[in-house]
Amino acid sequence: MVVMKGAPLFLAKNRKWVLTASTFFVSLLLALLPVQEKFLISGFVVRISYAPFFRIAEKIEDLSHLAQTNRELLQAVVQLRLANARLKEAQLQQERLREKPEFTGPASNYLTPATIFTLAPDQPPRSAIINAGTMHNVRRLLPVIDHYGVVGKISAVSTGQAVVQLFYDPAFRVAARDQRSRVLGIVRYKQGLNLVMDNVPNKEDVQPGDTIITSGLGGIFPAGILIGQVHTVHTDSLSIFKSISVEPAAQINRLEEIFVLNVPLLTEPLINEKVLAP
Amino acid sequence: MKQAFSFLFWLFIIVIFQSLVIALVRVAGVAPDLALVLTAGIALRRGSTEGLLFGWLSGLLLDVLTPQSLGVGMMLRGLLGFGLGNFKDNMFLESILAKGIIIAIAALVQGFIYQVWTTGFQPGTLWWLFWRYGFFTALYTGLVGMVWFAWWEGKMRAHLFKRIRVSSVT
Repeated sequence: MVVMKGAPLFLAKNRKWVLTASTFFVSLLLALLPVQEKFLISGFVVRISYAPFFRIAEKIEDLSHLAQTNRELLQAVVQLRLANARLKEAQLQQERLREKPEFTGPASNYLTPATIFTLAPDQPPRSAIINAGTMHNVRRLLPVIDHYGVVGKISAVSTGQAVVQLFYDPAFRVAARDQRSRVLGIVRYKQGLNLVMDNVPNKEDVQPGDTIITSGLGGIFPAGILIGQVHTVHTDSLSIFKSISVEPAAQINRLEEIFVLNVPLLTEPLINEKVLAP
Repeated sequence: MKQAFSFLFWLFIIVIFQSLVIALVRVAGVAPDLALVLTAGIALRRGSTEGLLFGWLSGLLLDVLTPQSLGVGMMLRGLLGFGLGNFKDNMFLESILAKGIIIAIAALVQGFIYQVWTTGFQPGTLWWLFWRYGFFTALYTGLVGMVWFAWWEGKMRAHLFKRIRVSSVT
């Protein structure tokens, strides 16, 4: 039989209180440790106790988010498909624009794209309604072009729509220039499907096949926009002006995308259709 | 040895609860203190020494998740386990409700002292923490404690009846 004496006996008799004091003392010691030491001890205990379960929790959370992520990805796929379709359409449009390298319109950030709502029923059509208005910064008298050249100008405008006076309107005028010989004139509609270039003296050099562009002198159209090509030139000895027929570059009956040249008018228009109208 | 395994098992349950389950049972930022429920359960069944040890170890497991306050939770939980274990023979705690109330009060006291220590006794912050978290955590913990005791005592009762039946047959 073992008989305990001294300290072992005291410990055995007061086991509960010794244990309480020990745990209290160790806890107090830990509580008073510097933060760095606390982090070291905690990190060690977390690694051996919690770490595997934290990884499991992470996996479970990933799985629970999978369905939501899947839905979001499907939505993104549909949006990308739509965007892809739009880009393909834009590419085709750009290819059409590139077919006419002589087109030298202003910078694209001045263009307000628009589409035709309706063309006037008369033939050839004199006006068209487009889907751009004051809310798109479209104003009256702004020039309208397509990827071939001059189409017309804005004659009336509302919030979301505008009326385009097409070059087939007999009241339409545009200041023009022969690109080769630099001869100036005024292009307007008279009859048929071609335009005429007026005010070109007999002695001036204008040949069939010459390119006619805007001169920029009318105050509405900037210079350099293609109007068309000279079809025929007649010189009448009884007249002081040539009779020039111009085949328009833009094909009104095939209009698709048009652009309003959203540039500030440099001057008041020199050609007033009301004054010049026959 | 059996008691050591039992301790390890319940400590393992605390680890799983804190890492996997707590996010699922949290309501408006308030989660039950399962470690305290288990400490109270062990202390009220087995006595102060077991309550002290389990409270202290479970406190260590919780404190390592907030290293700045390492030691504080261990001390409080150990002392609570010890205190509840000492009251074991002096309190008439047959009803589940009474045990739930004791656990809720223990949670309230533990939460308050813990916040006093960790906030450096700032009355404004303490008041806010008490009403926003402490009070509701204590209520939630008390409810969970009642459920746990109901389950545990049902299990013990079934075990006791089985033993009585076996002894009466033999």
